[in-house]
Amino acid sequence: MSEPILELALATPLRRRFDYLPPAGVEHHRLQAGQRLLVPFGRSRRVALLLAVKDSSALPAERLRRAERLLDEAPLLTAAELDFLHWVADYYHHPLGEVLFHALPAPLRQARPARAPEPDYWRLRRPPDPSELKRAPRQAALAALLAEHPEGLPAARLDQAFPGWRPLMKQLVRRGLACASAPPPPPSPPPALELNPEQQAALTALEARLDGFHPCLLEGVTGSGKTEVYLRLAEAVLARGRQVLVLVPEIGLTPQLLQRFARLPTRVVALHSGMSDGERLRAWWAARRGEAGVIIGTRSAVFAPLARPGLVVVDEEHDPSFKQQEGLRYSGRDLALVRAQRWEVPLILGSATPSLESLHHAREGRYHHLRLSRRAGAARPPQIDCLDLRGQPLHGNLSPVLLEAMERHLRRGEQVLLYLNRRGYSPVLLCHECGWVAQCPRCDSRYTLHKGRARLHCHHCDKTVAVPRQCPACGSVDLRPVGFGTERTEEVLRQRFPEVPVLRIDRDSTRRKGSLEAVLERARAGGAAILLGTQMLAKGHHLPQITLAAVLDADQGLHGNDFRALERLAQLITQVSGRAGRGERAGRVLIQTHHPDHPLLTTLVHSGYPAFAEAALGERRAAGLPPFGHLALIRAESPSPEAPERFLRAALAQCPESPVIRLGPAPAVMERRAGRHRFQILLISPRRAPLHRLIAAWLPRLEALPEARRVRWSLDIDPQETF
Amino acid sequence: MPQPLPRAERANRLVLGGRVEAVEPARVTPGGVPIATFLLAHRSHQCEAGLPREAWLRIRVLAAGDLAPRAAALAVGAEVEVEGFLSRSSYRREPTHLALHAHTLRIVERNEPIHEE
Repeated sequence: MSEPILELALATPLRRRFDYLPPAGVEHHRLQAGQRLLVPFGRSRRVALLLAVKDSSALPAERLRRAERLLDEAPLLTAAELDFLHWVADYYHHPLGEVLFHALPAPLRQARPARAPEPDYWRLRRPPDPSELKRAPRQAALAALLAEHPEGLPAARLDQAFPGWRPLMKQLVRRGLACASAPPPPPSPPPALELNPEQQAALTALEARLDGFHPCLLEGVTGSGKTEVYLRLAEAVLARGRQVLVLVPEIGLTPQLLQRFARLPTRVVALHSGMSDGERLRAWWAARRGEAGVIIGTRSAVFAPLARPGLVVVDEEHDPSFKQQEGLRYSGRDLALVRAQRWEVPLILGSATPSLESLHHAREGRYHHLRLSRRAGAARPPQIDCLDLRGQPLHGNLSPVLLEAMERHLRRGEQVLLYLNRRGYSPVLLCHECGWVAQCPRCDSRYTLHKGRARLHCHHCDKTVAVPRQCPACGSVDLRPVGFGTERTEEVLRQRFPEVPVLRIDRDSTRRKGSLEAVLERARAGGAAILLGTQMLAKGHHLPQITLAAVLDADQGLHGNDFRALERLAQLITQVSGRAGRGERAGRVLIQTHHPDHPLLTTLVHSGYPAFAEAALGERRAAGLPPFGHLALIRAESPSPEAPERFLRAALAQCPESPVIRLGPAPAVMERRAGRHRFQILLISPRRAPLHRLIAAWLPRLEALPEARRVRWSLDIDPQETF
Repeated sequence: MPQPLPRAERANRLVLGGRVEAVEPARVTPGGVPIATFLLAHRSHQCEAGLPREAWLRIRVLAAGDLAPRAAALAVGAEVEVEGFLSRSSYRREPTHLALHAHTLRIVERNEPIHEE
């Protein structure tokens, strides 16, 4: 009998599969699709994933190399998982090998056997005899620590409390002193909340659809209690012995959700990039083996292989962070839909401000549309007003009306939230004498001044330099900050409200692990306070003491470069508004703008998000943009100013016949970024199929172009941004 | 290398005495250089075309670096003598708008109110 041929995928950008012979000494019946193998590749060794075992290869026998070692006894990925990942690779026109390895936790991309992950919890089995650990003081200390926690300690806590504990624990286990234990039930999970009639109706509707694929848009105003609905539904799913996958846009939101889901009678695990490789691997296995009933994670968690899937929830589904912006440019939300469809389980897309795409699908009847229009408990909807900044004397970037309102709310011991989507001290550093502006030499952009760090920082390429003492153009020392970022606004607020704590929340102020939680904790403790932040602050954090919320600069969004800019602005304003008055007091929302008459802004302020969405969808339909058209973007970049455009022109010359609209090549809005010149071609098609047919036929020709070797180029299906 | 300027174009030195009006609090530039400014009111008797006359002007004085704290501490009404150079006051104004950049600052009389005439 001749040897079987192994068809393998490797993590390479090559769009092909690789044939190998089975490793020596491995019985052929042990080989199954979904296993990993170690193979020689060029002069190195690589990990490969087995796609199929076949009888023959197109390659001549003498060119076939032999795989070295079988890494997994049982397949890591089931046939259904492989199928899903094939679909992902096809849809995003991405090399299969890269997709497969992207879906695996980092430790499994290496040639280590997927050994059973170490348990999460440890406890003492018996106290050590007095003399037993005399010569091992560190082991004795660890045993003493465990003795203080008879319920067991999680690995994460041990990592913090006892660095280097793992080898010591091994010794304790060997001595029979310690053992792995099951996680204890969480101490005091927050109690179930009373459902209002709307929530109850939504829950009833969802519970009736627990069998099979049922996509549902749960549109609930901020504070309407969507999470409680997820929780109740998850309970029902768990009772059927099935698992729940919950996707959230931000790592920062997982602890909050973990805490709420902790009341469920199951193991709840997190899965996001803020965890160590080991933690992620354990969570992945917990999902894979069905040990965790609930998996909560950011977009990459959509690749978690659930053993017994029962429900998929995407919270804040409108959030742009669900889209991966490099490599495999997938949308976690869109893949969640495909996941649910293939798993034949219900999908809930939850948001206070659904994306126009999801609203459109709901309206077309593809999604079941459930609404929660009332705030849970006693909370009432906030009152929203625009503040016309034109001709107003500003204190820093704060108008008199806003200052007066802030004073009123703070005097009553309430909290104020100010939203400003601009980090740093000022977006411009200017020479007062000659007008020179500090610009990043690698980008078509200005440096942002960070005063605390005394650096100029380019927010596009991350380059930083010391703040110059004098103007490089004229030599003057009179350099001045122009414009207001959060750091400068904080300074203004501290001067104006010296007796009120100002809590700044942005990427700079929350760099240290746990600092965001600390600030949020401080805010929840109550008492007058000003919370000042970027979009980090606008996302789903529960801050019940806020009664006044303000958008300091709405014009930023009105002048956005992208067709989605207004949708984002409306979502942000609505989300920020949702922060006001979640407790018992009604909230107030103020929006500072120089364009108080902007039609979509006035629609939003006077009639709310649904009316805005209606109007915005009308504009999208007229323009043939998503969800009425389907987009793909081919981007090319290079240090050479000519190469990207030349490549894209050559690409267009090779483009197959197609009804798809091709726009470009055009320079990106910021043509030069991080020292690279950027051009793009935008593809628009009213229907999806012709677009994908075109790309499938076009890509091999693109890859063969000699000009392609002089640029870095990428394909983005359903791009979030087109600039 | 840029050509050295002709001698006449390099000359820029001015000594101006007067009373301090409107002192602004010192600020520190993002690059760490302290800057103080004040308005200097100058009034003197001059001779022109063989005839006596009065000269009167107001100019903003800018004191940067080590000089800044001394300038910021000046009281309104103090009589000072400033030696320095002239440069345009702001990129947004005509180059005929000038500021006096101080090299040295001599306090003649600390604090005496301006006598209104």
